[in-house]
Amino acid sequence: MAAILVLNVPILNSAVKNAAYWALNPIQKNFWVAGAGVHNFFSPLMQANLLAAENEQLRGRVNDLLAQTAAIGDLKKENESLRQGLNLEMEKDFDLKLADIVGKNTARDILIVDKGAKDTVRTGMPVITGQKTLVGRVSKVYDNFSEVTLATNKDFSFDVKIGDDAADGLVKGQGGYRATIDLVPKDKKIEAGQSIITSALGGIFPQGLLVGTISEVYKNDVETFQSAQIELAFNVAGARQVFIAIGKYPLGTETCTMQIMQNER
Amino acid sequence: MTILFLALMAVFQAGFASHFTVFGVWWFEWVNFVTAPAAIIAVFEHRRRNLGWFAAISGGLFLDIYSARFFGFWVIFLLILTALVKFGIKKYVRIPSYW
Repeated sequence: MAAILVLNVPILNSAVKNAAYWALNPIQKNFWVAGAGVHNFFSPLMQANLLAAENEQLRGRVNDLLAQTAAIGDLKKENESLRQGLNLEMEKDFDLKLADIVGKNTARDILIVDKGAKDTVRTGMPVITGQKTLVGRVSKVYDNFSEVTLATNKDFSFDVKIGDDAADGLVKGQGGYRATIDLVPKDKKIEAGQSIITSALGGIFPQGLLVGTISEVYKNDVETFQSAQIELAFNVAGARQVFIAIGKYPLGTETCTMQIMQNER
Repeated sequence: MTILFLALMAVFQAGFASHFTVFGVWWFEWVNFVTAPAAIIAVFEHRRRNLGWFAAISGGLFLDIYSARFFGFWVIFLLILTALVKFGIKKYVRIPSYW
């Protein structure tokens, strides 16, 4: 019993967990990759009935996006010429560090990745995919590993903007890879399919990371705000690698006010 | 052997099994690849042997490594589970004997 109490001392706890992750990493990484492979193989088979409808929907979206891309291409050229005119250097949006996912917390929406304090990873850094899709945020750092709290963690909430109107909202994790959006003003029109991006408002994430899309809107005459269920763009099942934004993003980690109320209870 | 098996199960749970959701995920927290074998060992081992307690402690330690709860939560949980199983079997289960 005394040994267990001692293992709750933060420094000792981190050292023990880091050592255990390090020792089990070779097996664990293979299990994760195997799990991702099996999931990616069976997932389409299990959802075969939904594929036709989804395919049709995606075709429509591809056409929309192609039109948007053409418009963006023109804007990009214009932007580049303006920057050259103003003698500004094009900067990378983020300094990214690639990390392999090696496991997941047995209960909570927390991933374990193989980059830690030795790789300049710090608590509070945003974690994204190569497509600038939001994964979550570094919540605990060990020497060689880190824990990434997913956006769906039930103790996690952050500000977002919805759709073209850029309506403000607050994403709240529900646990079990699910999240909802809340506190959307009633005068703003939100509907299924609208995309959700992070907002710099709460100082938790940099602006413009894709969170997901609205899947179902809940409206109630009594409530002051609207809420909705969201479908996250990042799918843990099948994911193998993520990027940790270690710097050069619009908001410094020092100013961030993360709302993980009690990560460890 | 039991330690190795339970360590492997804990890694399997954190690495492989977390890709899948079966009827939601909440129950996976409690019934998983470590707690289930620990309970099975407690049920089927001989009354006078102590492998169940040993499995509860070692399995609990491995689960605690992959848990955001305080360290020792799963050890205590599995010890209580093992105690309940053993008490239940001793008190209410009579294994038929013919000799």
